[in-house]
Amino acid sequence: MIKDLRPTAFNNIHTVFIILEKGPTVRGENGSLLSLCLVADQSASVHLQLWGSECDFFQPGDIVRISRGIFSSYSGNMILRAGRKGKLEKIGEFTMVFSEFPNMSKVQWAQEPSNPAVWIPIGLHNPHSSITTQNNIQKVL
Amino acid sequence: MVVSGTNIKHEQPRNQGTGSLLLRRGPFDAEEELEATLLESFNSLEMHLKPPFQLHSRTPADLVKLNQALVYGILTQQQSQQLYVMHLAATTRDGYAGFTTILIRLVQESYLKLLDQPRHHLLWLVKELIGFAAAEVDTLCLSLLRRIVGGDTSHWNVWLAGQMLNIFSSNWTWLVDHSSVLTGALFTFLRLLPDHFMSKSPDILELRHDEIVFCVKILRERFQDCLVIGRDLVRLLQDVACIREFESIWKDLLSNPSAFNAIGFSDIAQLYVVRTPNRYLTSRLTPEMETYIRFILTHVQMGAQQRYQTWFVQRFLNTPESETLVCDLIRFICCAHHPPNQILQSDIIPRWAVIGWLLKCCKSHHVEANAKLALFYDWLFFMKKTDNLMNIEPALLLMVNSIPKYVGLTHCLLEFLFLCMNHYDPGRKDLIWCGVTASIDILIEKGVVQSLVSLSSSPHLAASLKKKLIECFPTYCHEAKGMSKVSSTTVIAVQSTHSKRIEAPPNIESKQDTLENHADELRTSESAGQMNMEFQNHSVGSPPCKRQKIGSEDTCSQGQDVILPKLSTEHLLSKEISSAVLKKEKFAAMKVHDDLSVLLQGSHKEAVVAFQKFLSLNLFKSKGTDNGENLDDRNFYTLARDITNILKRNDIGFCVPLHGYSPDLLEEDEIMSVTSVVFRAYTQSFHPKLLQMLLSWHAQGFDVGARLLCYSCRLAEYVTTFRTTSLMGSKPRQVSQYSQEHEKQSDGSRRKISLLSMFTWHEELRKELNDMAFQEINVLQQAVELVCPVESKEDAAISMCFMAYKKFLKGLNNKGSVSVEGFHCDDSTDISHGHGISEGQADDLRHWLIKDLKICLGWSIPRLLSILSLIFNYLPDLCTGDEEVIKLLVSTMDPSYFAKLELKLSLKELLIAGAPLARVQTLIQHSLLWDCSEQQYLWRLLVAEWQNLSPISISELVKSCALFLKPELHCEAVSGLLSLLRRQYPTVLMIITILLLPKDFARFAAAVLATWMSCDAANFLGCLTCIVTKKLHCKAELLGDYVQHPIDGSVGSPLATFTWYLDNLLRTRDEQSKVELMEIRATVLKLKEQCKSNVASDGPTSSGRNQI
Repeated sequence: MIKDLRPTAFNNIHTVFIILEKGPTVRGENGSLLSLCLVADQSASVHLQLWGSECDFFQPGDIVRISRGIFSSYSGNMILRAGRKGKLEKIGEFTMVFSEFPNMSKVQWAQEPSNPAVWIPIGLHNPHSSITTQNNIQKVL
Repeated sequence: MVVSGTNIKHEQPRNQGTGSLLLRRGPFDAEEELEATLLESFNSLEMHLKPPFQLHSRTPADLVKLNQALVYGILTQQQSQQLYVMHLAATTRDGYAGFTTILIRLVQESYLKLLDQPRHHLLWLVKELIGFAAAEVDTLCLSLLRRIVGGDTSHWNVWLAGQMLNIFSSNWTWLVDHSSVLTGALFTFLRLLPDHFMSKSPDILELRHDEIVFCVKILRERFQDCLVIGRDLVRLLQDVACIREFESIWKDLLSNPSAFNAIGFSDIAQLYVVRTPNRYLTSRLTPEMETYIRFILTHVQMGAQQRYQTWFVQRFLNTPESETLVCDLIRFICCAHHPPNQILQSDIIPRWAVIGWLLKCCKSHHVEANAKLALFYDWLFFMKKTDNLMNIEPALLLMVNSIPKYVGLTHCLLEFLFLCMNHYDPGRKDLIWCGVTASIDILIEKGVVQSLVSLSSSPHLAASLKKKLIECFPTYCHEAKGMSKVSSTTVIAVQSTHSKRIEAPPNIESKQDTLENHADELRTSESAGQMNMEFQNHSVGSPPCKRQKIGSEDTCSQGQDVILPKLSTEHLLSKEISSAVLKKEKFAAMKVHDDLSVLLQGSHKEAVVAFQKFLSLNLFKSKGTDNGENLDDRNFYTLARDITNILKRNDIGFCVPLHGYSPDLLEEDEIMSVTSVVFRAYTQSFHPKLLQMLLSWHAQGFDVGARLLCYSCRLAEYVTTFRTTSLMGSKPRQVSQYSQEHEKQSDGSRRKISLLSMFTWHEELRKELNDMAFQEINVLQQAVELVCPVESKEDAAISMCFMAYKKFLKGLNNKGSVSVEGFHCDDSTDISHGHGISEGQADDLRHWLIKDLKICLGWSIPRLLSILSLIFNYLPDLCTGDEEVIKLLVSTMDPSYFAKLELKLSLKELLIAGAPLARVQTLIQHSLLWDCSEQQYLWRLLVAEWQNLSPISISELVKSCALFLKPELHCEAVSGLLSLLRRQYPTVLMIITILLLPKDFARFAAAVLATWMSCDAANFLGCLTCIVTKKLHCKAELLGDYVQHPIDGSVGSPLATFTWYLDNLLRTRDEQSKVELMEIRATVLKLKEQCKSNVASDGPTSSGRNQI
């Protein structure tokens, strides 16, 4: 579940989501193509970064399975991506319910005092504290 | 033909998947399960697919794998394609069904991803399969037709249309034989024609020409088949009316219907009033569209639909041509997607909102008008009996809910509705007015909206529209007061002013001053009984009272002065007056033909529901007690024959043999079939007309009796099996609700449900049948329950079933002379007491029963056994003691059933032989000629049944048996008798009876006495002493017929043999146990002495006589 995503340094995320929106494809610092998407499952949404040929292939409405994905800070934003070790696979279209709130890329994270390796989300309960997703994407980009 | 395969440029895109040549797969597409399976099978079997073919027998799993490999091979391998087809033809064992099923799945799930070559091969393969007359190829064709998308003139879509058209045109004979494909193709190509008419592309031009020729040919030559499509056929024809070739068709449709040579077709209104089966409407959506629309309507919450709508539009509605799909989608949503209650009550987006969105998607006026027509189409011809409220609900809710935010939409919809009412078909304006008013009636009656006030008094709506609303539906446009009152009568009032075609009864025309007057008039009017009834149903405060409906019906039949032009008007006013019309030509074959053949299209379940409706309409609509009508046998015979002919034509079995039997599993035909519908209706209503029909069907060679017997026994089985469970206490209906909740629990509960649904009306069917027929049945059932001395409703239901069966048998007996009188409950005593019929009559009925049993024997022996063990319970007067039934029982017996039956007999739950003795004696006498094993079974059953019989009866039995049994000849019977006697308790009477046996029974008698002695020596001795001291063996009342031959003590007699046995025994016993034995021996010797002297003096005879 996307709601259970926690910042991590490992490629250990396996989940399924639907792509809600896709931002424009841009060139990254090293020349590779990048595109930021808003994806969601029934628990929450999160920003997903597409890389290279993924940018062209995936479209809004696609149901995607990510295996060995990673959720971490990238250019200052918490995003989900497949990374080099992980994989994105289109397994269907359309028929998946989703919830746009909370957006796990927009929640604030704090280290747990007793165990600094564990990050906990702050303010998950208030969906209205975040601005609209469209704005979010634009801001991130 | 138009686009032949070779004209297509082959651009084979590189497949980036795992080397499969079947489906197009993008770099990030997950592997498709089906493709993976097919490829794997192909890879593993490829070597074996080439000659020499292995034709040896394969396991089912191997065959599946082989089919998968062949599908993959034929679709992807250019060179070996022919070879593989040969292989397929050589190895198929199921008429290609397994193979075709894989293709169907492929088309449904993955057609869009099929690479170019597999697509070509697939279409080529379809032709081959048609040539082979492969099973399921019709379904495959329908799946492919579904893949031709409306509003899409892209290359591959046009190609597929051309290919399919080619296939159908070149296999015309096959097509004509498969009317579901024929009508499906017509529906598809009529829908595609307008798309293709807009295009200028040369490919399409040629295709269009062929499509026109094809459709016109079907309409001209096979119009009879097309009638099943119903009203949407007219809707589609409307869109092609401007095409020259269709002009003449339209002309004939409107003014010369006989030109179509369709039996019974005399007016276009006959098409209007037929609700189009869902499969046609669904077929115009691709499987993906259907999935997505259904997903939105079942999963997406109101307010969260935006993204889905955007995706849907991007995917399916993103070109100008695709806009025409909106009409198909609206028809689908209205007619084919009916959400269940839990969805209706949830916050899932309702259908009207989705339709509102779809209407907003229309850019062109033409499409928008068509879309609105699609939305209102069922309104125009709505019939309470055959149409569904759910089809018309979205339009009203859309109008009401669009105020005030989208009042423009409401405005435009209402305007369109009024336009249709007056101008859609001016020649049949009355029909349309009737349909619309009936729609409004039922929408308000069922509480979809409370009234039309929200429309008629909305400040946002144009005054002219509000005025029109109030004019047309005055009763629903007033706040609170008089709401939902006299609705239908109002309709009549309005109608009769419009109507030129109907000669309404004079009292309606003459008194239209006020509604109240009008209603009063109707209430007393005989000729408007039906309307009267409608009025009563709508009157304020009284709940819809169905019994009144029945009551008023009879008066209606006398109103023959409603003169109606044939058929068109019959349908026209069906809601109000059709009952009167039905009375007149109720059993006219044409009527049956019109209604039934149309109704029975669709899925099996739909057909069953439709048939049930048909039954209720045609049989229950008029009450069974109207003796005045001349319903002679010939009428029933014709009607019955017509129905079965239609069933046959629709591939629906009737009274088919039940070859399988499992105590835990009901066959579909037992529970959800036309047969079960008929039986359920008959056994719960005893409707005399139904009985006549059953008899007619019997006469036509259907195994009606056998199936009815199976049906009744299944119910009985249910009760006896589940009597003990806690569920059984409650009413059947509650149980079935309960069971539904727990449906997934266990096999056991599933079994309960299936059994239950047999004897209650199936919940779904029940919904469909909320008319008076059902009420009538319930009333009857209650009446019987009151009369029957039974404990519970289940018993009542079973009793009714068997009663119904017996009534059927009686009918067979009096064939030709059965009266049409209603069933009277006093017959119910038949079953519970078993003495309701005379012996002579019972013999006649038995004859039919045996016939039915023998039919069951031919079907399945386990089923026959289960029936046999039940009918002794439920038809005792026919079965108990009947030689033939018993013979059937023992000749088919198997050990497990035997054990069960033995228990039942021991517990006195049923009797096999029963009384009187004379019959039993004959039975035993005749059984001597039976097979050895049969005799053994018989005697074991008799022993079980008789073990608690009184000594007097046993004694009588033994005496009478001894007269004809020869121990050395009839070993089975004698050993049976022996085991019966051994189980008896020694009494004076019994001992005397045994001692009286003739000499050839000496050893037999000694054995019996020996057994008795060993189990209770003291008592045995007591009895003997009693006999000796009181000289009871001389008492004539104990000797009965044997008084001439008193107990014989001479050598070789039972007594002597027993003495000899005692002597033997004494030699082997130790001293202690000898004491009692000695005593017995002494008494026996004393008895022997007495007997000798008796014989010598011949004394006891006279003294015995004197005593008497």
